[in-house]
Amino acid sequence: MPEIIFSMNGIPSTVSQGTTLLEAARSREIEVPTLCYDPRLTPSGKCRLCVVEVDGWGRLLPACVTPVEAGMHVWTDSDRVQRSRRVILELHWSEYPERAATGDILGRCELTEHIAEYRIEKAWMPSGFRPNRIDDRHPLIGIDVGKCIGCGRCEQACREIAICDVLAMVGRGAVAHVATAFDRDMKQAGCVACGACVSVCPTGALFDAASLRVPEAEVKATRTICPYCGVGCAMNVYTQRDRIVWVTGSEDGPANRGSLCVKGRYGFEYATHPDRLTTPLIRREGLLRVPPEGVDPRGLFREASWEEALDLVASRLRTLIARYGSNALGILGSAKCTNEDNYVLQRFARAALGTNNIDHCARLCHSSSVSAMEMAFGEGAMTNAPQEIPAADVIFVLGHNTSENHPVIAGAIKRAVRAGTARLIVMDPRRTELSLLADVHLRPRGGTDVAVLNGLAHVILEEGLHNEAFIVGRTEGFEAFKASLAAYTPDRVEELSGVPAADLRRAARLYAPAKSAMMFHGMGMTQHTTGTENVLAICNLALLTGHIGRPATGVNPLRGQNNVQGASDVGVLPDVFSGYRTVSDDAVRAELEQRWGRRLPQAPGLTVVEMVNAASHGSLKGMYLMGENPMVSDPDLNHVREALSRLEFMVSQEIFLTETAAMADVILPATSHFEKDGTTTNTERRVQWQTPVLPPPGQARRDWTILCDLSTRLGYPLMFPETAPITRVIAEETPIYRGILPERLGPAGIQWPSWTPDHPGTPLLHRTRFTRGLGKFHPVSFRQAAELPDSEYPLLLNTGRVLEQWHTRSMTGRIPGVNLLAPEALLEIHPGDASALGIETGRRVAVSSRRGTVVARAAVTERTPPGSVFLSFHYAEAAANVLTNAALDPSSRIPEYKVCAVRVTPAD
Amino acid sequence: MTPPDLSALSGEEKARLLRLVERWQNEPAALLTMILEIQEIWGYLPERAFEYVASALKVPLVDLFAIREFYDLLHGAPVPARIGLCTNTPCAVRGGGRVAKLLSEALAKHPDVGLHLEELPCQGCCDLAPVAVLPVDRRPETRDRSVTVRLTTRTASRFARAIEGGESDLFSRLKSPVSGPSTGGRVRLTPTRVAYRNLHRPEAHRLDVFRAHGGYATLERVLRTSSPEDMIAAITDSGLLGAGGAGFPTGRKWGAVRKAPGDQKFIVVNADEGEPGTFKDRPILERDPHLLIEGAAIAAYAVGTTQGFIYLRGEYRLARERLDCALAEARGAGFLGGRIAGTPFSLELHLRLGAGSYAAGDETAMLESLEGRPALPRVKPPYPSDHGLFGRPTLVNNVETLAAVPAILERGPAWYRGLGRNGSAGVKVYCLSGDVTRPGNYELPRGLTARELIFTHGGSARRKTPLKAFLVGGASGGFLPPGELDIPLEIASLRAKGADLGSGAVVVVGAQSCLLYLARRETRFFAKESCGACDPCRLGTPVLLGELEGLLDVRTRARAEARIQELGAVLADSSRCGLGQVAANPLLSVLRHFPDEIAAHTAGRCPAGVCGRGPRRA
Repeated sequence: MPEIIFSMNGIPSTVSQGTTLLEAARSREIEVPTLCYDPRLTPSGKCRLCVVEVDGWGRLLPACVTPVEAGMHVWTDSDRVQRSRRVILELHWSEYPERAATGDILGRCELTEHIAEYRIEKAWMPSGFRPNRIDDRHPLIGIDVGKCIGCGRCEQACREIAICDVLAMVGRGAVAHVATAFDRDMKQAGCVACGACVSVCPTGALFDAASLRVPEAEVKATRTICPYCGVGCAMNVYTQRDRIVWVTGSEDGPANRGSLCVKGRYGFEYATHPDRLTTPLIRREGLLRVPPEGVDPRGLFREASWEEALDLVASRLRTLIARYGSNALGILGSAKCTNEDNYVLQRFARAALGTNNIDHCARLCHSSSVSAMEMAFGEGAMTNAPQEIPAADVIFVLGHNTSENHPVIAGAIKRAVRAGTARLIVMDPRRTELSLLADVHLRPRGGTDVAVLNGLAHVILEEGLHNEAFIVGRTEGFEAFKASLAAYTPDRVEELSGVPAADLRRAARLYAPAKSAMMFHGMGMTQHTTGTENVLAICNLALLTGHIGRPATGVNPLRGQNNVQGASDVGVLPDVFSGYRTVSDDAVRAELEQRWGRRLPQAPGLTVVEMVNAASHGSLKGMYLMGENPMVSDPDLNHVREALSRLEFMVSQEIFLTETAAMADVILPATSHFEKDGTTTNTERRVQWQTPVLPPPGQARRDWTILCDLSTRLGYPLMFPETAPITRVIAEETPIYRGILPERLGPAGIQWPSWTPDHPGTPLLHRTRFTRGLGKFHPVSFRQAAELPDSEYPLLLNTGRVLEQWHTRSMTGRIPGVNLLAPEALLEIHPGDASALGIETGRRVAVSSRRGTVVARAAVTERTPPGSVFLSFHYAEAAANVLTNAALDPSSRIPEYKVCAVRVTPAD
Repeated sequence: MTPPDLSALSGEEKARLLRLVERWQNEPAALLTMILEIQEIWGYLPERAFEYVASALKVPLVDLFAIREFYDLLHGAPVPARIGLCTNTPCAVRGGGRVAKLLSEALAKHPDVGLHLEELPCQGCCDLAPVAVLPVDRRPETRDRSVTVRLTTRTASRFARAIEGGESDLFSRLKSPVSGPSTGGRVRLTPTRVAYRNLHRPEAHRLDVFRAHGGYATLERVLRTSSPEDMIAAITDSGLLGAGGAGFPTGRKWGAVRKAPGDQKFIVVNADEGEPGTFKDRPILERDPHLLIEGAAIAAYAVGTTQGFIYLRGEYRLARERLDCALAEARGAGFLGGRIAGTPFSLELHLRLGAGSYAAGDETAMLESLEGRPALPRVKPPYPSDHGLFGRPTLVNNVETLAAVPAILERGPAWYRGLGRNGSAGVKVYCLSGDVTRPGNYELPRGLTARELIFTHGGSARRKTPLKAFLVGGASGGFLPPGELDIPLEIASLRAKGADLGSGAVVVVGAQSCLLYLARRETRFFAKESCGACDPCRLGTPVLLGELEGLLDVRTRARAEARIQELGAVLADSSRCGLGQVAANPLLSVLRHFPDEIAAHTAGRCPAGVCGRGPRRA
C-alpha cells in the first residue's frame, strides 16, 4: 500500500492509502468519539459524532467513512467540530428517557460515557416523536426501544455477522427504531438468538433478557472456551462471586472472532443449577437398577463421603476383576471432558483396570469418518479449517445442518455466499437454512448417499472434469475406482436416490472445476450402516478433483462435542493409545509399558454399542461412565436399559443425576466445564487452553483427581499436582501433540500435528503428501439401509438435533430461556403425509418402530421430504432413540441413527 | 422458511399477486414498482402478500416491512376515505390553512361522515393552490381512487356545509368537476423554446406529432455523425446546469461517467419531482415524454451506457401512463432497444416508480430506492458517477436537464449559452406560485431578476396585497425580503444571500401571510421527511420546531434565536445530504431578513392576523 502524506492537528504524518480519518486518528491516540462505529461492522457514517474539519472542504467530514487523501490538513478538535459534537450529543441526551440511562447489564453505555466526558446537558426540548417501549416477548433477547439511539449497529450485526436479516431500522426520521418484520416476536421473525446484536449495542437497547443487572465493578471477566460444540469458540465469562452473569464472544478467538450461538451465549446457567451433584451418592440397599416410572431418582440414593464412595467403587471393581477378569469391565469417556481428564481415564482403564474396553461418543458421531479418512488419507481428522471458508470458491455441505449444529461456522458460510465469494452445494434430504441459499440442493432419499456421491464422480469423469495431474501424482487405486463407477449414470442415480439427473450434473460441474472447493460433512453422512462407505465416497471426490491438500479445500467432518476430537486424540478408543498408536503394536505397547510401569492389554476392546450388547449377553459385568448418558444418546434405548440393568456394578461420574446416572450404584460428583482448566481440541484440531471461572459446587471434584484417587486405591498410584503436568505427559507420549505444551497455548491455540516442542502446528493436512503416502481411492457400491419403510412401518425416520438444545439436554434442559425457545420434541412431517394421516401442526402423535413407541407433537412442514419424518433425539420424554436401529456399520461400528422405519398415528 | 400460506387469499387476488411477481421478479430495479402494483390489489399491503414476495424473491421479510414503513404511498392497513390537503408554502399562502381549519372543524363535529383529513406533501401542481386530493372510489370511469383539485376557501365552506349535512361524496359538490387525472403544472408560454419546446403544441405526447416537428431527428443525427466526446464537449460548452436543484454542470457530469472505469454503466432520469413549489417536470412528463426519451438516449450514448431507468414520482399517474405509452412507441419505432436508428448503439430504458419520499430527491437516496430499499442517501464520496446504481458508474440527470439537450444540440451550444442574462448561461424553468395572478411554469433566462419574473410575468401581487417576501428554491430556499427583488435568479447570487435557486421554484408571499406560520410548516415538512440516515437531521429537525415556539416568548426569544443559529450551523456542517443541510434555512431566513415579523409575534401580534393563538405572556 502506498503511503500518503497528510497532517492531523497540525502534525505532518503519513498513512497507507485507504486508511480512514478515524483509523488514522485512533492509531495516533487522538480521541474522536463515535456511536455508530464498530470495527466489526461496515462503517455507516450515521451518528456524525466523528466529524472532523478538513481545510478546503466546506462541510465537516465523517471520519469513519472518509479515507485520508494526500495533502489533507485535518483538525479533529476545532471549534466547529466541537460544536457539532456537542450539539449532536445534546440532541441525543435531550431525547433520552430518564429511565433508560442505565446501560447494558453491566451498566455500561457508550452514550452516557460521552455525555459525562463532554459534560453534556439536556439542552433541547424533546421532540416527543421518540418511541419508548420494551419488547420482552423473547425469553433471551429483549429490545428496549427507549434506549435505542438509532445507531443501526444491531441491524448491521444481524446482516453482516449473523446473516439472519431479522432486525432493521424501521420507520422514517425521528421515529426510526430497531424492529422485526411486522413487529413480530423475535423468534417468529427468524431470530436464532446468537446475540450478535446484543454484543454490538452501545447502550443496552438490545439486552440479554435472562441476565441479571450487575455493576461492572462487581464482576470478573475470564476468557475460556465454550462448553458446547466442536467449533471451539472462545468466550469471555463474567462472574459475580460464584455465579456466571454474562457471556460474550472473544474477539481473539480464532474459531469465532467474537461470534457465539444461542447455546454459547445463553447456555451457562446449568453450571450453577440446584440440580448439580454436590456429594457422592450410593444406591440404597436392595433397590432395583431400573427405577419404576415416575419415581424421583434422588430417593434411590443416599449421600456418602468421598472416602466411602471411592472405597466402595475400588473394592467392587477389584472384586469384578478377580471374579470375571478385566475385560468384564467397560469404560466410557467423555467428549465433554478435557484432554487431561480423558488421558487419565484411558490410562486408568488400561494400566489400573487392565482393559481396552474404553470408548466414548465419538463412536456414535464420526467413527465412520475417522475410519474412512484413515483408509483414504491416513488421518481421520478435518484436513482444513473453517477459517479458510472466505477463500473457497465452492462450499459443498453434505449431510449436515450447519445452521443448527455448528451455527458459528454456518455464519461463515452464509457470509461467503452473501459476499458472492462462494457458490454453495447442499446435499441433505431435509430442507435446511443453507439449502435455501444453495445453488444446488441435492435431496436424496435417506440412505442413498453412496449412489449420489458415485454419481457425482461418474459425471466428473464422463465430462472430463477430473484432475488428471493430481490423480497421477498423488493417488493410487484410480483404475479400479473408475471401473466401479460405470453403473452410476445420472439416470440410474436418479432412480436409486430420487436426485434429478440434472441436479447431479449441475453439482458436479460446480464442484469439480472450482479453483478451490471445500467439503463439510456431518452425521447425515456418518450415522449409517454405510457410514464408512459414504465418507470413502466423499474422499474419492476430493482425490478425483484434487480438492485436498490446498487451502480452502479438503474433506472436513464437523465434529460434534467440544472435545470429541481431543478425547479420541488422547486414546479414549478401544484400539488405540493417544495419538492413534494402535494397542496391538508391540513397540508402542512396550514404550508405554515402560513409562506406565504396567503390562498393557494387547487386544482391541469393545466399542460403545458392543459394550451394551456384551452387558445384555452377560459377558460385561461392570461399567464406569464418565459423563456419558447412553440412556438417551444410544440407539434402541429399550435395549440399552435392559442391558444396563443386567450389570453387577455401575459407576457414573457426573454433574447431574441423568437418566443413566439414575441406574448407577455409585455416583461421583464431578466438575463442569466452567470449573476446569486444561485443554480441549476443536473440530479443526486446534488445541486450546481453558480457564476455570467458577469453584466446584459442594464436594464436587475434578474428573482427573477422582480417577487418580481411584487408581491409587486400586494399587496403581496416579498422582499429578495440577492439570498442566498432565498436558505435558500427553505431549511426551503423543507424537502429534509433542508441541502442545501449556506455556505455548496462547489465545490462538495450536493445531496438531505439532511434532516438536517448538513446532508451530499444522492448519492444513496432506499438503505435499498424504499421511499414508498416496491418497487411496476406494471403490464403494450402493447398499440399502438396514431397515427400510414397508407396509407396516411406512415412513422413514431421520434423527438429529435442533439449534437450541444440546444432546441429552442434561445441560440445556436446565436453562429456562433456552427451553422456552425449544420446549418439546417436534415430529416434522411433510404436508402430504400429514394430511393422509389426518395430522395437523400441534397434534400429538405416536411414533412407533419395531423397537418402541414415543409420543411427540407434530410439526407439518416441507422441511422434511415426503415419506420421511424427522425427530430430534434430545428429549428423554420423546426419545427418538427408543425408535432408532442399533444396526452397525461393519468397519466403524457406528449405529444407523439416520434411517429406520416408523409408523405415525394420531395419539389423541 | 417455508413458503407462505396463500390459502387465505381469494382466487382472483392470488392470481393477480402471482402474475405481478412473475411479471416483475426478474426485472432490474423493480422491487418498489412491483410493491406499488401489488398494493393496487388490496389498496394496502397485507403481511401474507409480503411473505409471498419475500420467499419468491429471496428478500428478507424485514426489508419489505422497512420499505412499507418508510414510504408514504405504501400502507399496512386499508386506507380510510380521506381528503388530502397540501400544507406546503404555495398552498399555505393561498389559504390552505383556512381550508384545513374549515374542514377539520366540520369533520370533527360529524365523524359519522367517515372522512379523514390528511396532510400531503407538495403534489407538484402549485399553480392550482390550494390543492386537495379527494376520494372518488365510487367513480368507475377513473382508474384512480382520488382526484387532485383546487380547493379554495369558498369551496371548502361549501364542503363544510355538505359534511354537516352528512354528505361524504364531496367530489360531486365541486362546481366544475375535473375530468381525467391531469391537473396542474400549467405552462406559461415564453419565447424561449428549450426544454419546453413542444409544449405549445397539442398532442405532442404522440410519437407522430413529436416526429412531425423534428422529434428524434437530433438523436438520429448525433448517433450517425457525432462521437460521444463531441456530445460531452457541446454540452459542456453550452453551460447547461443540472435543473434538479444542485446546479452541477451537466457536461462535467457526463464526462465523469464516461471516464469512469466499468463495462456496465447506467443512466437514471430523476423524475421524482417533489421539492415544494416545484411542478416544472410534470408538463414534460405528461405532454412531451418523447423529448425526455430523446434527451436521455443522447446522454446514454454520450456516457456509454445501454441501460437506463426513469425514476418517476409515484403520485404522477398521468405521467406514468404517458411514459409507458411513449416508451413502447419509441421501442416500436426503433428509438429504443437494439441498434437504434440503424447504428450499433442500443439502449433499454425502464420506467420505475417512487413510493412517496422527499428524501429520494437526493440522487444517492433515489438510487437506494431503485435498488429496492428505503431512500436513505449514501455517504458521498463516492459519487454516482463512479459508484452509482448497483455500484456501477451512473449518470443521474433531471427531466428538465435532459429535455434541454436536443434543442442545444440542434441549435448549438453558443445559441443556448447566449440565452442567459447577467452573466449566466442558458435558460431555466421557473415555477411561479403563491400570491401572483398568473402562477405557472416559465422557461426564461437564467440570471433574470426576481422582480422581472414576479411582476413582469407573474403579475403580482394578487389582490393588490403588497409583496411581503418571496421564496426561491422551494422549501430548502429561504424567504427573501422585497428589498432583494432585483437579485438575479442565479446560483451564486442567491447563495450569497443564504438562499438557493434549487429546482427553480419561486413562491410569492403576500402581506396576508404570516412568515412564522410558513416557516413552521416548512420546518415541520423537513422533520417529517427526514429519512433518519444521520443523527443531526434525524434528531435536529424535530427539535427546531420546539425552538421556533421559543421565539414567540420575550423571555426565551434571544436564547431560541441563538439555538436556532447554532443548530442550523450544525445541520449544515454535519448532515449527510441536502435535506438536513438546509432544513433550518426557512427559519434562519426569517431570523435574518424579517426581524420585525418576529418582534411583532413576540409582542403578541401577528402582522397578518394568521396565528390563531396569541403570544405567551408572563
